[in-house]
Amino acid sequence: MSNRSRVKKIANLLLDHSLDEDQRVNEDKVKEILSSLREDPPLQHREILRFFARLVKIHMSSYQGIIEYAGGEGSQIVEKIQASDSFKNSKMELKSSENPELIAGFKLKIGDDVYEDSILNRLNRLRKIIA
Amino acid sequence: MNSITDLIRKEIDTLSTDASRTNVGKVVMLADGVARVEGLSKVMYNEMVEFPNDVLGIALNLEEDSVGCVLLGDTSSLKEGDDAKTTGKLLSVPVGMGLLGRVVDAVGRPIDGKGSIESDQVYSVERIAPGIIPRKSVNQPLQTGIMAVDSMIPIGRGQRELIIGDRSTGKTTIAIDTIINQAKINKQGEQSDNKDFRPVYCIYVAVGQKNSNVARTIKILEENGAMEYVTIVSAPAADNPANQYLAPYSGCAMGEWFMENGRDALIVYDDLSKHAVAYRQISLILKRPSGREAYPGDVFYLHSRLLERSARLNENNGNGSLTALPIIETQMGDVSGYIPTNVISITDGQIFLETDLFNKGIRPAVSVGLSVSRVGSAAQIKAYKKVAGKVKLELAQFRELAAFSQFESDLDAATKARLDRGARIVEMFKQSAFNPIPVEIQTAIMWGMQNDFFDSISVDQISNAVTSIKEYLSISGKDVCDKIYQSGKLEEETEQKLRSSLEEWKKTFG
Repeated sequence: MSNRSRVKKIANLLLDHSLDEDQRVNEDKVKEILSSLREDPPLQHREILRFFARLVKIHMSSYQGIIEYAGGEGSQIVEKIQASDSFKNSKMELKSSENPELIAGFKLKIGDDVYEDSILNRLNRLRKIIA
Repeated sequence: MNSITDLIRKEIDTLSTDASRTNVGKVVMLADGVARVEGLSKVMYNEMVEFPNDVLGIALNLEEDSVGCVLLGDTSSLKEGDDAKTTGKLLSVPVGMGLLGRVVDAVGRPIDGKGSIESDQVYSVERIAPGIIPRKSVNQPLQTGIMAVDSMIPIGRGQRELIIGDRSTGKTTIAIDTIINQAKINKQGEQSDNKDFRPVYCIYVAVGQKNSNVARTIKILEENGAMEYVTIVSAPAADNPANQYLAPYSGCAMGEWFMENGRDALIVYDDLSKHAVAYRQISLILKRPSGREAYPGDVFYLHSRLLERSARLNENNGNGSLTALPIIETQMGDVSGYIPTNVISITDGQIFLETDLFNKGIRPAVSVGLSVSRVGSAAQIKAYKKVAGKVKLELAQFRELAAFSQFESDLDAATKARLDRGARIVEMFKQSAFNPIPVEIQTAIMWGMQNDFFDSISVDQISNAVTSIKEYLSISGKDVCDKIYQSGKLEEETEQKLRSSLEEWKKTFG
């Protein structure tokens, strides 16, 4: 097994051990793993930790949505989404922030997926068609 | 002014107002036209990926934690941390008659300054080759206009014939001659009232060549009036390796449109050695495991999937064809190299060009022993088959005897006759560049050779004699040539006329 695939395999195992019953990253479990690694460091400790951090970030982004809104009435959209049944059932965590560049509308990012309904996005689409 | 605002309004009306959903990633590494992107978890293999400033890429490496994309176009504006988005589309190029007479880049964008391309259809660059059922055996000739090729290594429509040889041995010249000859035949056919006439459209794919060479090729084609039937796909040496890798597939997609619409097309890949080198470069940057000569393991598949797309379709599928003339450059005449052996095994024969012959002035420098066409005489008209049947054997015997005769001072009459005949055939096959000979005149010249019309002419005068016959037949022997062209046969009556024409010619040739 190459060094890289060994690092990947160990990091994946660490991620599995860091998850709670809801398949979310548990902070206490992560602390426990880090301290045990510190006490008995494996080969390529640094690479394993780097890859582990990347996997944790990717995994957390799958249930932590980030919503950007253009300000003004945009905050109402966030409230509407959070109040919707489908959102409540999904057990998603949602962070919101203001982004005036959107002009109007919103942009929701969950994992690698981006859902966007903003004026900026429409203008970009129009620009491409005209060009 | 109003029309412009109306145009924009119309465009706004057609715009979708739904929320868009895209899959995104972040660029973590950029090098030599390749980007490694984290994220893009839903990207498909060969999908187009959009980068900032309208730069496009193609997802080639789908790994567990990242995606390797080859970038098309100017990548100088990209930086690490930039967003990359999936588009849900495979890379496509425009196809159709609107591409004829145009010069385009690897993704089908015009680079000849003649405005946009009139085409409403696009074909995906990577397509599956036709299967067994829609195919038909190759039996229609594709005349190159080069006597040495048309007589000994005939090429059929739908065939894949490799042109292989060292640098500066005339590989590109053979391909360009063939294209020029198609244009001449097309013009002749369009002027005639023959409803069954099928023109051959040409695509010339220049990979890794100098821009000056491509410009020279375009000039030659324009000077010979061939450009109106040709599309040039250019990915020069200065272009990034991704474009050089894609260009043959783009050209092939353009050729497939002709084939699938019941037309005949010819595609020249000039050359696949440089194509393999570009692919090796991409693969090494993508950190794919390398094998022999540092090429990746799938370098055979790179060329086999490209050349398998050339085919002759049967009547139920439109009866179209795509003939391929791939070019491979060898090093020091070594045909046992990795890429040459791969492409030799994929194609239906090869035209091998020898440096020694070229330097001796035998041009085209076709090596009779190493060249072969697996389609053979099935791709020759009957008249030509009748006169050219023995030539390859005679020439091979000549080469063998010529080697032995160096040690013998006294030769018997039969050997001497064979040597004389061989020397005359070699001279007859000498042909200047960009000067293809119509098949009916080739037939007449070959007939003259087989019927001893050249025996009384000294060897050093054979080239002049061939030129003289060409001129004579195109004026005084037009009837007999037309008869051969129209019927494709050499009947007794035609032979009589040809005999009397050549006897007349011989009186004029001093």
